[in-house]
Amino acid sequence: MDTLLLLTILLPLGAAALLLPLPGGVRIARGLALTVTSMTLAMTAALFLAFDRNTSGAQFMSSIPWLSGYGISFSVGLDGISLAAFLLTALVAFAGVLVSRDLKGRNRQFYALYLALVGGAFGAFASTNLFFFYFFAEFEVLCSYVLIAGWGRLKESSDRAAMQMTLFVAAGAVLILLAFMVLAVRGGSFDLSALREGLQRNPFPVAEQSVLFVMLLAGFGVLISVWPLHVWAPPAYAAAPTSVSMLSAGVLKQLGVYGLLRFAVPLLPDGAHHCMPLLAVLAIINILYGGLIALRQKDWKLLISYGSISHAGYILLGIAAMNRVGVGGVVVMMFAGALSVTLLFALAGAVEEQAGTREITRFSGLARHAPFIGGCTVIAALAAAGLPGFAGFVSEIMVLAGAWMNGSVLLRVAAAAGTWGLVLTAVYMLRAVREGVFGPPAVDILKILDARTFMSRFPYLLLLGALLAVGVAPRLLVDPIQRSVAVLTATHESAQVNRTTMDKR
Amino acid sequence: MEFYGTQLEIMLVLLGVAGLLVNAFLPRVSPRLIGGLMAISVGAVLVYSFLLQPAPEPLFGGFYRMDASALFFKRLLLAGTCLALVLAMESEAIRAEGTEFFALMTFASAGMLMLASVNEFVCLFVALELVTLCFYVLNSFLNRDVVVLEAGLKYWVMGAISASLTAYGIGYIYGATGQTQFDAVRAALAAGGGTTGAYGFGSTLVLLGLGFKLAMVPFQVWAPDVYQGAPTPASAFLASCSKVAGFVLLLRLVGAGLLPYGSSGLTLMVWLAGLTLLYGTLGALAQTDLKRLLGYSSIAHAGFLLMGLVVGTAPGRVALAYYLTQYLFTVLCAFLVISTVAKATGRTGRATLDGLYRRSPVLALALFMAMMSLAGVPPLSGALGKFFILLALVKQGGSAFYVLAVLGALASVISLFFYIGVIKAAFVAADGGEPAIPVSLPTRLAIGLCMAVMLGLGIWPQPLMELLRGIFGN
Repeated sequence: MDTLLLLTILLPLGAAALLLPLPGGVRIARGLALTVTSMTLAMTAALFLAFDRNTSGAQFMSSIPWLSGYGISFSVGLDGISLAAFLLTALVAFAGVLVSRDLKGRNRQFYALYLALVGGAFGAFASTNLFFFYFFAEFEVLCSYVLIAGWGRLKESSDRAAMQMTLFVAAGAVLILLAFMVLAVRGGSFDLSALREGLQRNPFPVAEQSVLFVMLLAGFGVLISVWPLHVWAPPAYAAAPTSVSMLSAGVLKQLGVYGLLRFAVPLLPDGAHHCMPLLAVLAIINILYGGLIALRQKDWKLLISYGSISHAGYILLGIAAMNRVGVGGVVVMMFAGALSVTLLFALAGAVEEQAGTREITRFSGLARHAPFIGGCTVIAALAAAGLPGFAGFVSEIMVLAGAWMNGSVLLRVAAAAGTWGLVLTAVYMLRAVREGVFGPPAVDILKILDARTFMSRFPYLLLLGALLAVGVAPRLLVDPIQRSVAVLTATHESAQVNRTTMDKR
Repeated sequence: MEFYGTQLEIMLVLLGVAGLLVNAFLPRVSPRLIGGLMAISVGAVLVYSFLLQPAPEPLFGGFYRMDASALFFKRLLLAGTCLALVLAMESEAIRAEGTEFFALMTFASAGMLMLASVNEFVCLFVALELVTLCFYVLNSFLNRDVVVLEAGLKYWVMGAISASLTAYGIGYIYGATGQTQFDAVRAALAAGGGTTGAYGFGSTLVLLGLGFKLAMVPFQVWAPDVYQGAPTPASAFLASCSKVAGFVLLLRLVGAGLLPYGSSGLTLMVWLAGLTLLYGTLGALAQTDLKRLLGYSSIAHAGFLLMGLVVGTAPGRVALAYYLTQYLFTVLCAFLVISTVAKATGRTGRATLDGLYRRSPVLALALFMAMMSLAGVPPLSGALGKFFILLALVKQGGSAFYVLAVLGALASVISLFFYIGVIKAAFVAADGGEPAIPVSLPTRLAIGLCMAVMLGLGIWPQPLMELLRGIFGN
């Protein structure tokens, strides 16, 4: 099993390196990409089944010494939180290859970079060494730049959007790097567990912790597209080819959430506690700002992007809550929110590739003309709006409940704002559905061919199935993650219990 | 015994003389062949150098050192010279003038190897002038071109000023301590005396004089002009080997405790490092000529290297040595590509790269890797170079070093903008349907070597880092 994890990371990277010099056309490239992503999906499923649900620490550990004397080794392992992220990556990667058809040339290079992007994401999620997390995250920036600039759907603006994204994300990455360096110097190692012990022996003063936490929050916040660092996200998602926008909105963004949960919160507990008000305020702004902007969008992909910015607010809210329910909700949301955004982007991409438009009113009548795509769009929009029965509902309830249970007044206000945010989400999603999917048939709609074969329907069904499965049986996902979440929130929760009992007195 | 330390330099000088003589007496042998043979011979000298062992004792009465660090950098410089010779032998304009260019390169290379070993100020001056004099000629070699002449003149004027600064500074150091040998100067300083102010002044002048070689603020203005105007092989040699040699010399001065002198000296160097970094990074933003862009980029990298130098700790020295090693190959890779493209198109503007990917995938890939390594993107070696330097700064701590670290991180983000601009031209921009670019076998080999080094050092740095930690301590 330990080698299986290593193999899951190295297989896409190796295949990417192999694909570049290999001769052959679309068939071979796409075939190889399909084979590799389906294999990684199967391997991830195997890891998911073999995962011991009663342990909190990392499992399937393996370590290759890389740079002795600096405390840097290529060590990987999965705990509950990384397992959820891993599963998400495998699902999205596989669905992404299935939906990418119309690339307009250079297929070999596209799939090579795509696989590199997937392998990098796997590597980042599994790394238990801070250096390699950074290494893979920065590598992702490079790959997604080339993918968006080279294969973007809009000739001029995709170039600009890709550059903007790269500069934003790279700036965030160096903030993360600097903070990691300070941590590693203080704790004596880049290895996560050694570092945690080192920092416990030799803790930072609260003021320094707060500075470092804010640095990490800003760095990961760029990835999560937290207001005011979200500027790059909507244009980049709109410009990216379908499968790449799926990966960047579905997986790269979760890299930020994951980073906060894995590094910022456990390594800087006092800083996280100290910055709770900041997190709560940012959460309120994100939820309402993203929702209000999404309300005004006529462009379908931009609407999805702003909706996903609004979702980032719930993630911050759950982290601010700092208890088992809230943080557990964040992990479920990392999984569910990403899947529903991925699904929406996949469907929007299918419409845009064929009808050539992203404007909601110009593909109205989708449901009648292309029942499958239209129907899936309706379901996906409902899932994103938090309809019970889908995973998104579970995560939102957990986050809001966690925020309320924390007991802080500010967080209760934020939770109230979060409830209003849910209403906003329902409004913009349902309006888009009314105008886009139903409504009188538009001219462009006639160009759309519905997904008729099983293989063309499969990616959407796969993502929907995963959303439904977690929505109907949340324990599927909550069980493996709960131990890891409990460890993460243990110290904060005891403080919260003290506070609430004091309130009662 | 004494000549043990100088045998590599002697071989290089003899090689240069042989190149000249063969061309003079056997005019029918093509200069390209001679250049190729010289490159192979330099490679052979490099292989031979691995038979040598570092000598712990100073040679020539303490003037010269053949310690582990000297030997390491001599090997690095030999590798760089070999690659630069490949670059030069493929240039038709240079071949048309015979083999003088190649001979001058080996003479300059001998000077650089000396710089890696010098342990005394007068010897330092002689070695420095040997390199600089050769470059006066190299930079203005194609003297029918006005742009080249302008570049040569600029280099010459700035070089002359900096040489006089260095000489003046050495005079002050001698006046203050009565010594010129490094260890003796340090001993005299440690013993104390009433003339430390004079030493501080002299050592600052020497630093500024050397700063010219490194394109350090305030002596950076020549770099973009000269890089753009000089014959491409000369710019490449200047950007790679000459810069490395300058830093190796500074590293020795810092290691010997002669620089920076006192806290004000350190403050000065911190400021110079920061300003150099900012000047290069911001200046590069607006460039469209590739060689000029690399000129600014080389100033920015000098800033980064200076940051590794001012830390003054063993991790800083190791980081600096790693950075220098990978930087040499990265820059040569970039120049090899640019020179090959320029030969086919006759220009060096960024637009000449349009659609390079279609015209020559190998060149485009090499350019991509070189630019990403310069920008510091994993898994290429440049990323680790920056990482080690920033880590050394953070490890040392202190507000000045934290500021430098933040500045360095910021600059590497900004630099992404212009390095990606180059890549964009090569991969994304459409071309006008120009013919494919032929790449000769020696160039292919040289580019392949550079790419292997960039990738190898980036993915598996352990062996080199072990070696460097052995040399420079932990």
